[in-house]
Amino acid sequence: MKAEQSEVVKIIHDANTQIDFDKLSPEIYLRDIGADSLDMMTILLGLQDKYGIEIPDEAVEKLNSVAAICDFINNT
Amino acid sequence: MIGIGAIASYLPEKSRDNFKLAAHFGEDETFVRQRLGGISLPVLDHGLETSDMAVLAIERLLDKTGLDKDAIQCLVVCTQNPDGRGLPHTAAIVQQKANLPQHTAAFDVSLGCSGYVYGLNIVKGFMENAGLTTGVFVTADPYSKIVDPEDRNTVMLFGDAAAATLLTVDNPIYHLGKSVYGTDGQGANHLANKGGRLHMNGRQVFNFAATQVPASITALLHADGITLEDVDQFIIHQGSRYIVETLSRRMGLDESKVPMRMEMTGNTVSSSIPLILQESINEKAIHKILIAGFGVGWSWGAMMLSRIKK
Repeated sequence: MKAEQSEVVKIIHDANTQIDFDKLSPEIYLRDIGADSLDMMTILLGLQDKYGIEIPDEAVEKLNSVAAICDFINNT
Repeated sequence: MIGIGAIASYLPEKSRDNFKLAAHFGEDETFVRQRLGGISLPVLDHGLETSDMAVLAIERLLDKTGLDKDAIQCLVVCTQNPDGRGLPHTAAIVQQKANLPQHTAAFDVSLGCSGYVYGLNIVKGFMENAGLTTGVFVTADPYSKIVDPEDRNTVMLFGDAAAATLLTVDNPIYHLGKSVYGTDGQGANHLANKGGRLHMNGRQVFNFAATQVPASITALLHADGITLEDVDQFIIHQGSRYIVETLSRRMGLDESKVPMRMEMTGNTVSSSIPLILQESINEKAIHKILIAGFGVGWSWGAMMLSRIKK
């Protein structure tokens, strides 16, 4: 399944995180706009649910922006 | 009919200040309050054992109920941090320390955060088959024995506590209803005692809980032929504030029905559910309670409790 940035943004939004959405852009690090480690867990779980994939622990650090997330999913 | 007659608990007086721990790891008070949930984490005094916590909880149960020790026919202790290395079983040590009679059947159950839900049915089934009328089920799992003080993943989460639940045929307050259970040993490596230290992969614990627990609650409601609206209270294992809130949100639960009481305890493993239930017992407007425990294993269980009409 191909991931669109708009879909990923919706998943992030639905994850009920502390992210400041006014500052969200494709390349910005989610940690820099309010996401903590627990927010990232919820976002990653939302991605797994949506795309039917298993995100390995080793990949987590790299999934730090909307663009990086889309790249990962589209190349999995 | 065997049901829950009373619950009492013991919290050690000594505790760790989670704000100080958080500062040590570069986290602020908001993180402690809103994400972890436990502000004060009770710690078993040096020199005391798991069995001592269990005895103190039993003594409080006896004080609360006026129950005669000689009436206790069955004692079950749920722990994965037993006295010594678990041989002999902690329940036998508790029987001796609490001066319980020799006709008391005593054994341990090795389960973590799902232990209370499992244990209720284990004790009830044992009592029914053996023709017993009075049993005590103790949860006592002091993780302070195995938590690494420099492990930020675990040291800010867990607190020590013990709870003693009276199971009796004599005017019980709550009936044990339908229940569901499950295990997924693929999670065994993600939350484990490795060489005497607790290791936890927080993300894997979260993924397991966030997916499996809602499914088990849904299965239980279906098995009981009821809906979320029919339940007065959902007592979800207090793993952390974040996990309880996440589960509530994913299930669409009414927040007012989901007690969150871990500020003075943190995650007390198999004792977190009875610590809340002991208060719910006194609230007569609460008729149907769904309890859900989940954790190490992976192991999970959920059960309906119904207040017995007097």
